[in-house]
Amino acid sequence: MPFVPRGAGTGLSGGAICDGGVIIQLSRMNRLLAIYPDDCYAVVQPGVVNNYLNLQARPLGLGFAPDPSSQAACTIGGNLAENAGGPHTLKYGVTSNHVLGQTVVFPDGEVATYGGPYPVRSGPDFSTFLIGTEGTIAISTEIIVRLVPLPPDVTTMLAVYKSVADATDSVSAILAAGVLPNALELIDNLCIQAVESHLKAGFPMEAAAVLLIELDGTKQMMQTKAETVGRVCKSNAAVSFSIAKSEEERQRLWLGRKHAVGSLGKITPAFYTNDGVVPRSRLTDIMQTSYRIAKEHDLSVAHVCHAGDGNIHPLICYNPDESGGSQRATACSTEILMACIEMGGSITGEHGIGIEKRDLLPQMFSEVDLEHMQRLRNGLNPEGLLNPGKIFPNGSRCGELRGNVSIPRGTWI
Amino acid sequence: MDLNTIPEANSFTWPEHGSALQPSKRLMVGTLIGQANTAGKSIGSPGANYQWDLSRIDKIISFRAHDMVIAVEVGLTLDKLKTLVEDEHLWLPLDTPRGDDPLLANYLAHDHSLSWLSHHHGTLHDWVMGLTAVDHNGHEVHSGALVLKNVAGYQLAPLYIGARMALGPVLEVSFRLLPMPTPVTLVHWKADHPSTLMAACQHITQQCYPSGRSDPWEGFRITRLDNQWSMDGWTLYPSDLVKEWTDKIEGLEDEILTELKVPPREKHVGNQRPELLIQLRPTQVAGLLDTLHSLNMDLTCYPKAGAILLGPIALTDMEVLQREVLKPIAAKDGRVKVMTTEGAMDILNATTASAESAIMARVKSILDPEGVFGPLPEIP
Repeated sequence: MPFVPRGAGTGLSGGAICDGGVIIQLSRMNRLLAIYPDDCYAVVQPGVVNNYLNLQARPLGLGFAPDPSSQAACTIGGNLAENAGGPHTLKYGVTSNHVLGQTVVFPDGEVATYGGPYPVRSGPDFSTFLIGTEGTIAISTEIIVRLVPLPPDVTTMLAVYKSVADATDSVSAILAAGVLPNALELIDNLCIQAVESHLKAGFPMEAAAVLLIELDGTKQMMQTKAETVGRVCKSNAAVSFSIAKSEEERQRLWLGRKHAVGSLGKITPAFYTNDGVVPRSRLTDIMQTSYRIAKEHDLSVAHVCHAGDGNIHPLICYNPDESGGSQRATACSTEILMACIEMGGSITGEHGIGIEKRDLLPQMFSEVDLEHMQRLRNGLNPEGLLNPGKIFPNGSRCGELRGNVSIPRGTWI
Repeated sequence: MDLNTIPEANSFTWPEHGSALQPSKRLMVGTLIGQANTAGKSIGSPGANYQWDLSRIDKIISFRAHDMVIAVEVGLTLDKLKTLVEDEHLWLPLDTPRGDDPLLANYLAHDHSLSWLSHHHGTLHDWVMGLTAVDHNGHEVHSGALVLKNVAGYQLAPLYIGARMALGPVLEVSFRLLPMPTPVTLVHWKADHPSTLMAACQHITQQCYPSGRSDPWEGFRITRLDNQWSMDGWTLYPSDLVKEWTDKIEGLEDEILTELKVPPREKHVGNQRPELLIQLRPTQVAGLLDTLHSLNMDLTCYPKAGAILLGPIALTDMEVLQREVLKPIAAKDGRVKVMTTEGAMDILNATTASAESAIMARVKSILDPEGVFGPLPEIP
C-alpha cells in the first residue's frame, strides 16, 4: 500500500497529497530534542514548527535561517522535503545550507543516519541530496539543523516606486553596487491594496511597487551600505526611500510582507500562486510578461517576489465559481512558468514540483536527465510505495508541452 | 603519492567536449577514470584501461555578472575562475588548504574545499548550483539550474561532490557568487601553544560582538609546521579596529597586520600535504589540539568549522595516532576522512563501513551498474 509523509500540510505543490494509501502524519513528532548553542546546532524531530525552533533559539542568540511565509505553521520536516527558502535566503541560503545531518527511514524500513553535528559538509553528502526530494526516497525522523548567530543589528528600508520596472531595475543595481542585503523583497500594487485594506503595514496605496530591503551587521557597517542602497534606489526613480525608525515600524513592514499572500483573500474569492525563478537581470522582463499573460487570460495578477533571488510569486486572482475560471488560472500560471524557463530560469524556487508541476518538468530537463534522476528514485524506493506520483511526470500528459520553448545553454546546470 | 608510481592507463583521450564521450567511444573501454591533476596529467587507478583528461574542457559557458552566477567547464582551474569573477568585483568564497591551483574537475572530484572560509561560507556544497555529468551510457545528464533558487527535480550535486567521479565524470558546473568584500585586514601570529591561539580567537570574537555569537573573521585557521604554531585570519574590519581588539592578548608573538584590497587566498604552508580530515564539534577542537600538541605532527586547523587536517603522517606515528587521537574521536561521534588519492590507508582499514559508505555504494550500483567508472572513495 502506498504511504505518504506529511508535516503541517502547508506545501503549495501537492507534495503531501495522498491518492489512496496511508498518510504518515509527522506533526506529533514535534520534540526539540536538544540545542547546543556553543556549537550552533539543534536536533529536532520533523514535526517541529519552524517558528517554534526560532523562538527557542532566539534567547540563545541563534536562529534557523530558512523562514518561509508559512513559518508559523510549517514544520522542519516539510522544509527539508521542499528545500524551503523564504525572504532571507538571499544572504543565508535555503534549507539545504542549514541541515547538517538527518536520520531517515527508507521504504523497506531500514533506518540510517547521514551527516552529523559538524559545521561543514565535505565529500559526497547523501543527507543534502535528500533535501528537496519531497519525501520520495526516505522519511526524516530526526534532523540536525545549523543555527546561525543572530546579527548584532538590523536595518529595514522601504523604497517606493511609480513603476514596477523601476523597482525591478533597482534590485540588480543594489547588488551590482556591492551590497548584499539579507532580504530584498518586492510587493506590487494589487498586493499592497490587499495588505493595506487588512493590516495597515505602511505601504503607500498609490505605489506601483515597493521594495522591502533589509541589511544586517554592525551599525557602523550598515550605515555605509544603507546610504548606498538609498542612493541606488533614488537613481532608479524611487519616489521615496525610508529607513524604519523603530523595531515596531520594522515589524509592521515585515508583517505586511509575511501576510501579503493571505491578505489577498480580501480582494479575490480565490487565487493561484506559482513559484517561478528567473535570472535576476530578467526580473523586469518576467514581471511585464506575467502582467501581459494574465491580461490575455482576462485575469488580474498580484505579485510578491523574493526579488533578490529572482523568485516570483504571481498570485493569479480568479473566481472558481465562474465557468472555466480555474482552467484559465492554471493556463495563465503555466504560461508564466514557461516564460521563466525561456528566460533561463526554473519552474520552482522553493515550493517544489509535487503533483502540481510534474508535467512541466520535461520542459526543464531532457528525457535522459529525468531517467537518470528516476533511476535513483526507483533504486532507493524500488516498489514505488513511498510518496508515489510526485515530482516526475507520469508520461500521459507531458507530451503536449514538449518542444514549445527553446532552453538557453547553461540553463540546466 | 609518488607521481612516478601512478598506474598507467592502456589508452588515453583528451576530449574537447562531452560529445566526444558518446557510447560509440565507450565501446572501446572497460574502466573510465575521469580525473586530472593540475599538470594536465591524469591520475589513474589499478585496473583502469582508459582515462580522460578533462583539462581541455575549459570554456566559460555563461557568466552573468549582474545575476552573480557563472557556469564553466571543469578544465578551468580554481585560480582562473576566481580571477575571472574578481575582475567583475564578484567573489567565489571557496578556497583550498593545499596551496595548489586545482582543475575544477579535481577540486570537485576530491572536494578539497574545506578551508579557512568554511566556517562562514561552507564548502562546495553551498556554492554549486548545478552540474552536467556523463552517465554510464555516455550520455550527458544535467541537474540544477542557473538561478539562485531551484528545487526542480533531484539535485545531484551533493552526490557528485567528492565522489572522485565514481558516479561519472562531471563536465560542467555552475556556481553562485557574492559581491566582492572589501577592504580586508589580514593578521598573522605565532605562539608556543595552541591554547594561546584558541584563547586569542575567543577574545577577539568577544571584543567584536560582546552580546552575540557573530564572528568577525571571514577566514581563520591555526597551523602547526615543524612544531611552530601560528594563526592566520582576515576580517572585513579595518586594521586599526583589529589592532584594538588584539593589543591586550598575551602570549602572541610576531603579530603581522596587513591591509588588502581583495580577499586573500589561503597560503600553502611548507611541504604540508594533509592525509586525514578530522571533523568534530567546534567545542571539542581545543581539547584535541592539546592532545596533538604532544604529538609531533603537522596540521591545519579550522577551529570554528570543527575541522583539522592532519599530515603528512609517518608510518611510525600510526599507532600512537590511532590510540591517542582516532579512537577518542570515534568515541565523541567525530569522524575521520582520508584525504589522499590512494584510497584507504592502513590505519583506517579496521574501520567499520559507515552508513555514508553503504548508501554511496548503493547509489553507485544504481547509477553505474556495470562499474565502468572508477571506485568510490572510502567514507569512514
